[in-house]
Amino acid sequence: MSINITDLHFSRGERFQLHVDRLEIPKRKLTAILGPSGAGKSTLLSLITGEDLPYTGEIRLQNKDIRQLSVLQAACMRSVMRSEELAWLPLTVGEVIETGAYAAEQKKKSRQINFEQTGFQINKLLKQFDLTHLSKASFDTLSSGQKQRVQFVRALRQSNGQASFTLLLDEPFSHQDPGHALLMIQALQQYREAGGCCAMVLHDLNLAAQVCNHFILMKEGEVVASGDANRVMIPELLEEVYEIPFEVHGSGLLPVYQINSSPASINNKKLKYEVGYV
Amino acid sequence: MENTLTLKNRIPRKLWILPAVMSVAIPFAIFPGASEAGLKLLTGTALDESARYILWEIRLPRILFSVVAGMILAVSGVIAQSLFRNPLAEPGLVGISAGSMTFAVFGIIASHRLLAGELVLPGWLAALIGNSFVAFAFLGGLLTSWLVMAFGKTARGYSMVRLLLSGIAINAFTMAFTGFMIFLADDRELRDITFWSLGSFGAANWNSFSILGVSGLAAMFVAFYFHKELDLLLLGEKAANDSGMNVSRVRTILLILISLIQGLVIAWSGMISFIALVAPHLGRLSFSASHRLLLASSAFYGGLLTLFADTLARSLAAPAELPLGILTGLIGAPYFLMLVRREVKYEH
Repeated sequence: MSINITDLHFSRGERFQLHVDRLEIPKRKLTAILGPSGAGKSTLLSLITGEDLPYTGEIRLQNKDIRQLSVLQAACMRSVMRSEELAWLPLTVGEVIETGAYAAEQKKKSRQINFEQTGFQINKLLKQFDLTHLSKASFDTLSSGQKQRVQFVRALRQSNGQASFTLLLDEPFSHQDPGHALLMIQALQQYREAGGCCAMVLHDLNLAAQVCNHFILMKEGEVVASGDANRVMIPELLEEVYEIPFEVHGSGLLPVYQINSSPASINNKKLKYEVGYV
Repeated sequence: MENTLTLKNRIPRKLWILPAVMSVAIPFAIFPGASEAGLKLLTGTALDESARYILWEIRLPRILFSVVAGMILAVSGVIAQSLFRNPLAEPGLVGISAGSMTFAVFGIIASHRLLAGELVLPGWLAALIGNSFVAFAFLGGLLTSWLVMAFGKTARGYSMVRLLLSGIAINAFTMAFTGFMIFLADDRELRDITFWSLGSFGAANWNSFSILGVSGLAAMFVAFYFHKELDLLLLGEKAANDSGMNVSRVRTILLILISLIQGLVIAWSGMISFIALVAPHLGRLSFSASHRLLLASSAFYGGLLTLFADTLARSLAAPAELPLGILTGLIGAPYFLMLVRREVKYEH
């Protein structure tokens, strides 16, 4: 019951239309938003953030229409990790992460909530995500994986340790090595167990299958399927959406989704892409 | 717990060096200058009426004026760079300097010709130029920056790209007017224009200092009130919004603030180059880019640099006075180059 979307319409010029009839992103689950580039995954995520976009329909965050929320109220209910590159950010890692505390501090100032330190101290966070040695380094001097991790920690910092919170992440693992990705995944799983809600845009199906337990599959601005792995992560649906042949190896907890690039398979299925090298 | 607090609240001990240097520099700056009054003060010779007047009514207000002007120029530079998220940005981008320049040049030419009876203007305009040249230039600057902001506004608040492009276009447009008037000016007018466009604190007195001091203090207070918002602005408009900050409101306030600061300083003292660009970098390189410290450190750097430049300007070629802009560029630029070359942060 954490995010509910009804009859959402959004268009960006003639070229791009997004339409979602009914969609739920549940709490206590990690939700992957999947689909080919241009399917509308990031746009859907942006709409949920409450960004000022001209849409029709309704998006409810914790049962509140996001249009009714002030910028500050929204920031106390969800945080966002975007995938944009920053050209110039002279702040140090510690300072960047601390900006995530802005909403909580503002609320504290206006005495709207009882602000309590909920175990989200910056040093613990830095240590947990292997950033302690970088805390005084300028953000500009980091590698892209480190920058991404800092942005992730900043989004966590904004949650201020609340369990009824929503994390919206746009490709959180795209620059991570397996070890550091694991740190982030473990944090997300703890957060999920505590009752949190999280939606993330992902491209790696295997990672999605491993990390998430709720899936939304999108194509050309429409939701093709949503639900658990058994309903969404099936080769027929994936083939329809990505327009390449898929095979699933293994089963149970860790299936492996593999692109089947043999010419026979491609010819048989008459799919859009011709995979040239075999 | 221990470090959470220290990271947030500690003021590095090094930062106290700046106000300390400044409190030494200000009294020292009173000695050099065109008149021998300073020398008399130094050697303990009795001060006559004119020496006392020069020291307390001309030199001291001018010193304080230059410090405050430098401080708020630096603050406006910090704000402009964070607002545009560009280390090359300076407040002039919003169009106010070019606008003040156009009006000031017009004011200089008009006042010469009104006196000579060669020009007839509507009574109120002639009175404004004749009585309050500063107000005239200030209004001109505000008018231009209002124009830039009107063009830079979209349905969803200010677009920084549109603001930048409109600023460049309107700067070029007002420069064309300035150029045309300079083309028409005679030699005497040209000299005045040149002097004004290179900046000088020659017009400072207790009156102008009290206005600048009070409004400058208020401006610095407002800027500091928004230090957290300025940090967030560095992360980009969307990230700032996601984090709970009302971006368009803060941006509007800050844009108006830098226009007012620039307008105020420029109207009294002409174009002072480089301070607003350099001081924020000095602050960032020697302390922190976090605005809580950056605003303070840059302000002190700006004040010190300006004081230093102005002291040289009025004593190097005494009894003549050098235009300030020559010195800010001459001192500021090489120092800046040295820092940029030495600093690893800028190798990326």
